[in-house]
Amino acid sequence: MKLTRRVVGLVVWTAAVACVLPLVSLLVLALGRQWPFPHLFPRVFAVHHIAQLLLSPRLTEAVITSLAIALLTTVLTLLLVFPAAKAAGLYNFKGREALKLLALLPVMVPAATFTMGLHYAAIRTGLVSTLLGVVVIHTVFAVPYAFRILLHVFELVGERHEEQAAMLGAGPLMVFSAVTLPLVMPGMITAATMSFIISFSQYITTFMIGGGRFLTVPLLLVPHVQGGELHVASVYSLVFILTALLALVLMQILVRKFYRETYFLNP
Amino acid sequence: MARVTLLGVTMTFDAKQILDRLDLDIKNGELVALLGPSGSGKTTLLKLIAGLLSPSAGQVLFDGVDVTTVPARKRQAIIVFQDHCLFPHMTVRENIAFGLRARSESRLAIDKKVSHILQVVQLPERGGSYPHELSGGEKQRIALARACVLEPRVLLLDEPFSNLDVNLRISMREFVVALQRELKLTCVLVTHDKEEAFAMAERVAVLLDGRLEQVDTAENLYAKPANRKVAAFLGECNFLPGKILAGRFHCCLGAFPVDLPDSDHATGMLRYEHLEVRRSGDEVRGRIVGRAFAGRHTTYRIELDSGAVLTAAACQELYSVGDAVSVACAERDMNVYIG
Amino acid sequence: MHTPSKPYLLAAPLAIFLALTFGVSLSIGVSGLTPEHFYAVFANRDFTVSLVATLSVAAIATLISNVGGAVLAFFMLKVATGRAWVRHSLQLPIIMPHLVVTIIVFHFFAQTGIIARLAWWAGLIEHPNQFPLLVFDRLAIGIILVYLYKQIPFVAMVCFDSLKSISHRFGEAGENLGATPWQVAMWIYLPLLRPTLLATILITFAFAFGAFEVPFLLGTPAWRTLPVEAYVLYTNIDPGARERAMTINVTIAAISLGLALIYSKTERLIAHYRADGEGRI
Repeated sequence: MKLTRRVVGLVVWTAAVACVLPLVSLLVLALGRQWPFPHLFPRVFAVHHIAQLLLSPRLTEAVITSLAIALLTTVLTLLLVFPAAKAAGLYNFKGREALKLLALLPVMVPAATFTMGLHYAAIRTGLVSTLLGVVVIHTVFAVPYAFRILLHVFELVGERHEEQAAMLGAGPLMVFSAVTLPLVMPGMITAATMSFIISFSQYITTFMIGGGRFLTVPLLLVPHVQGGELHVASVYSLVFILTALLALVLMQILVRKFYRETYFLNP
Repeated sequence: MARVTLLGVTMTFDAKQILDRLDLDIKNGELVALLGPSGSGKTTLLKLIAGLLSPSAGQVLFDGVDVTTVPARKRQAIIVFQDHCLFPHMTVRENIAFGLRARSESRLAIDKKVSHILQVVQLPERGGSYPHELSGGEKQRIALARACVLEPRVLLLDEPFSNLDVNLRISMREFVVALQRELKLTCVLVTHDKEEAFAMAERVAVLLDGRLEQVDTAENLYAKPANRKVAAFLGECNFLPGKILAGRFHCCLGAFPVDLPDSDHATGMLRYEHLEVRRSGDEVRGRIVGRAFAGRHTTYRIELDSGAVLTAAACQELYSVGDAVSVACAERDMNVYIG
Repeated sequence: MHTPSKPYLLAAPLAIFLALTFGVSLSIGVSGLTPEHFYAVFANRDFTVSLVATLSVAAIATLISNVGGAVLAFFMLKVATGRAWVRHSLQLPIIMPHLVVTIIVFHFFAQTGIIARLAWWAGLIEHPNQFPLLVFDRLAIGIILVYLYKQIPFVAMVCFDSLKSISHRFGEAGENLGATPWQVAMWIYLPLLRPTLLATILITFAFAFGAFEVPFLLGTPAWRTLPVEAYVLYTNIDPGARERAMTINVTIAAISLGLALIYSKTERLIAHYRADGEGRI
């Protein structure tokens, strides 16, 4: 009994360490210089060439573009998904199952496949190389996750509070802003986080629909991976992860702050 | 079936005493009710007997053999949970067969036993149903069947009827008592409902704040509670402050013979229905100050001339607020406690 | 508050958005394709190799990540200590982009990677060439490793949350009825976990089947996965290449949609019981 417990604990512990180890190695890779074959650690650790990489205007451009596209994608995704998830979560109507299946489709149909079809169409409709085109295609792939999360939240929260608020005399706008939104806020934050990350990580969709006009961090990264320049790639990767994390933390703090001040939301 | 003995069973959680040195002896084939308000430690005690928890101190004995360290799955003390806890992904038959499968009994033996117990609980046609297709009472009966089919050494019922509506509850009580007699089960019933405990159990153990205050038959418990806490928990009663002098208890209703030493601080306990109310008489006088109709009887608040306020439950005569009355009580109905 | 049209109005924007993008993508993609295109592509040996390889890679990654993830979830349930940091560590791979994971796998498993260096120190190899080819290899081990790093924690977290929401009282009841911990896991928790596992199997398979970046960057020159094959054809200026690319894309989409349909059918079949009251499934 004791022994099995030990083994189980060891397995879980190992798994957790294995999840973190790559991030650590990424750091070592970014900081290290001159690291020929049998050495387990770089012979020189240096910072100045990292600074050079970080200050390159292309990186700045890529970070700003990535952030802008991800934010727009998040907003569009939530606008589309929020009402639909509410409908599917609270009401029983014909076509509800079809809606659920439809919202699941982008997970099932591979991004590359879908993008090629849309690219063909985008060329004709003039959406190619436009910001709207890129945001639309990112949104398609963010929808399933945001929908699932919000659907679950609406099923949990139900409609009782909204009905109560309406009985107490609140208009639709007040019901929405004072009751519905605060109640589903945690779910909204999770859904926004997922949408943001999905948009931020897109490569092939941005590459094709963007038509080379939009340089995002993944687009900057891929040639270096292909060229085997692991050092440069690791620095960009770290920027990639840190920017995403920072943006997410900032977004959560802002939203929480806004809601606590406005409606005395309990944490 | 087994005789179950608890010796000094103590349970502490985070320095909080949940159960305090409990001693209890349950005879083979006896149905004992564990009665107490919520939070008194009843369910903890049940889990201790079942082996789902182990006591901080003390012993659990089955037929005189210490089973304190025997794990739950080998102890054969089976709980029927309040929420029945039927496995939602198994049919009724699969649910009942669960414990037999765990014992690796043959398929043939399992089939036979399951069919038999389904007959016993009078649901032979429900074998293929899933739990969500059953009514509340049916679920409870299947949960009982799932436990009984294992011929447990002791059957533990954890508030089994509290999720059922009133009429169903009463018929389920009779059903369980009949089942327990038929299968000669040693049985512990945990409940906060004194009516349920009184109606079903041969003996009732009163558990208050982790201590067993009294174990006795329902009649004795009601008539002669061991202390004020038990008295107050078991039924509505008047507490009358008074003194004991030379073998007599003196209070606002007069003097009553007692078998207690002299004391300046004593309390008499008198149940509402034992306070007799009359239009007139030589007894203690007072007047009605409040009235509440409660179906079989009516309760009256009576202010005595001495200023004390008592409550009586009467069913014959009707009084109105303001009526002058006199009250009295029989000597045997007055329970006196020191303090 | 309630009007029959309300849910439809709420659902309309999303439904129209998806129907439009999918409709346009599919209809224009399919337009101009004839059965002959399909015969030609299916008869091509490269296509068959790609199809079998893509399906195998996806199946292997799915099998390992779901078995591993489910076992890990059970284990996590058993150990009470250090749960918070374990949970946080397991969330890291979920937010890590595939591209970055690709770099890490390369860094660890290339012939001059960390593992090879460890092997050198251990005296197992004397030269990088002696280390087995684990990236750009014909068996797609590098690709599968990327999927496993992302998916085992994903499956574990989803299953862990699901297991936690299954009332622990079922486990108690099982133990009380005489089942061993193994029997409780196999007879009670695993069947209750089935709907969750079905969903994770579908998601992990769909991803591994349709992923582009990972096989694009870590794949062997000997064969390509279907999406990469389609992309290479799509960007090829040869006459007819684009049609072949779209034919492959339609095939991929058909397989994916088939999976989605099987999923929704199976989900209903498995969930023939329903959570009620304290069941919480």
